[in-house]
Amino acid sequence: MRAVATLTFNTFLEMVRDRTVAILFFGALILILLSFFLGSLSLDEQRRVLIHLGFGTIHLSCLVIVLSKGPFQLSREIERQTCLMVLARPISRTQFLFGHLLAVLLLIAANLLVQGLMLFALLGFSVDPERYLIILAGIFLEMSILTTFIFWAVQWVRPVIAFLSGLTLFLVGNWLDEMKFFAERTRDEDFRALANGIRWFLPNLFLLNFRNEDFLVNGHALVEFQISLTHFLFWIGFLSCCAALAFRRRNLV
Amino acid sequence: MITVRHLSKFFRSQFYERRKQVLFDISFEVKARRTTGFIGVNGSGKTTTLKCILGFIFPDAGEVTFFAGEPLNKKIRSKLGYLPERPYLYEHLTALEFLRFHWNIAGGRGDFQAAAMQALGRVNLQGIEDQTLRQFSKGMMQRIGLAQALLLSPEILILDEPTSGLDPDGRFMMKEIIRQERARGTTIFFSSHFLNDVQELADDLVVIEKGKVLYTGPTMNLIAQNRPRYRLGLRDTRSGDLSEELCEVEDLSRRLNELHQRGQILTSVANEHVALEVAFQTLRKGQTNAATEAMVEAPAEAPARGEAG
Repeated sequence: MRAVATLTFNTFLEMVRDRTVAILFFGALILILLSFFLGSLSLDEQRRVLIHLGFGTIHLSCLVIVLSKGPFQLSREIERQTCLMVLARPISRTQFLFGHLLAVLLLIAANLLVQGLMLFALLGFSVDPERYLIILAGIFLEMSILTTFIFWAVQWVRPVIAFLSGLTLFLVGNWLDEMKFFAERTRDEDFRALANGIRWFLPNLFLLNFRNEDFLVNGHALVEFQISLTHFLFWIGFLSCCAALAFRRRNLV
Repeated sequence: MITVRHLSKFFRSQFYERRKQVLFDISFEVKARRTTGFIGVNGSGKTTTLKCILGFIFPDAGEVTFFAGEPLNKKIRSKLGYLPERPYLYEHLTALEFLRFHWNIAGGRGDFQAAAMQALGRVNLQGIEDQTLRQFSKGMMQRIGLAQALLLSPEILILDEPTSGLDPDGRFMMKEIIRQERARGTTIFFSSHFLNDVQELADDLVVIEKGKVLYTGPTMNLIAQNRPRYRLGLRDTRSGDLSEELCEVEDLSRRLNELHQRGQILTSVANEHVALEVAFQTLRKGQTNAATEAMVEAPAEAPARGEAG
């Protein structure tokens, strides 16, 4: 545990001190602030605009962190051979992989915490904290799936391809519900078969998308969350195990 | 201490390409409490072998064992210090944070501060512990890399090109540290291109060429395989020009007669010790000649095989 915690902390420190993360982080904060002023331009919709744009910005900034850090975190270590000195120490490859994975997740959590608090303050501390936390947890779990998927993909392909695969999973994963909707109404058997197949093989990222005013005001918080949580935890566990197994047998040339 | 047996490794750069063998049935032993040099030209397989020993690359055949036949495991890793070739480090960490990181992942116990200061002192990096590694020069990177390898007083030290990228002072320091570690009883296995350094430091040698071991044994035995030579200082009687020539022992009397006929005067004779560099080249040349002879013989055999078939 000490080794994984040290690796996580060290990797997190490296990422936080990187200027690009700071730029992204403050850029997102400015966008959330802007959404507050944009909302004030609208008539009776200030709160709605703030919620949608605010959560949209948080979601997007987390996605950028995952896509910019995830594919390059491990591959950079291997390419520059910084991992060799670490792996010569008494730690396993699984610990090494999980150390890096947790560092990326920690960065996302930190990003969510600060930006979430800011949005909460801009909303005047007037929304239900439990539902608010569930929305943030949904974003975190979605990003966790993407991160573990990218960590698995980068064991097999170049980081750029892993980046594109992650982006594709994000788009398709969020589109699965619409695809189901179209599949139910189409007469095309092939499309229906394809849509059903994809739904079995890909995580449905839309399941934890509670980022709307309706949920924040009227949502049945825990019930809706618990159903989706099982789906997400399965995928996170499955993908991280796949990534660890692939990394254990990888030649670090 | 480290036993490498029948190690073979194939690589494929792209999935559609044929596998290429880079290590051919390599076997050698690194003896306990001795310093073993690992030499070979670029691309001969030194780094690949070191990576196989450290478990970064999985061999296709053969095995590597430590101490009394144990495979590489966490217990052995905790006794290891390793410095890779051209170490790239976490550039946003300070020197002290970097050492603390290695101390923690290696499960170091005791006074970290004292151990870190001692390691930094040994590599002449005192007073820069709060500088981030991105501000370090290439030589300083090599030194801090060595400091992390020495941090937990390892029993086995594996160094991949430890003197590359170092200035003369740095090379001297590195050699001093290797000598100190040898005196402490550390088993050292290091690869290098600087054959003078290897000759100076290594008790034993492993010579590798194109993925095959050409020599393994004491350094002095390899050097002794080569005949000693004399360096002759000459002066031309007509022009007065000075020159030097190398001459083997059994040729000495014949060469002296030739000199007289050419109108040259012998001004000095010095016994030239055969350097490892010469011994290494001779060893390689011997290997190349053997390969060429085999290739010349092969076409003559080919029709015979055809006829037989």
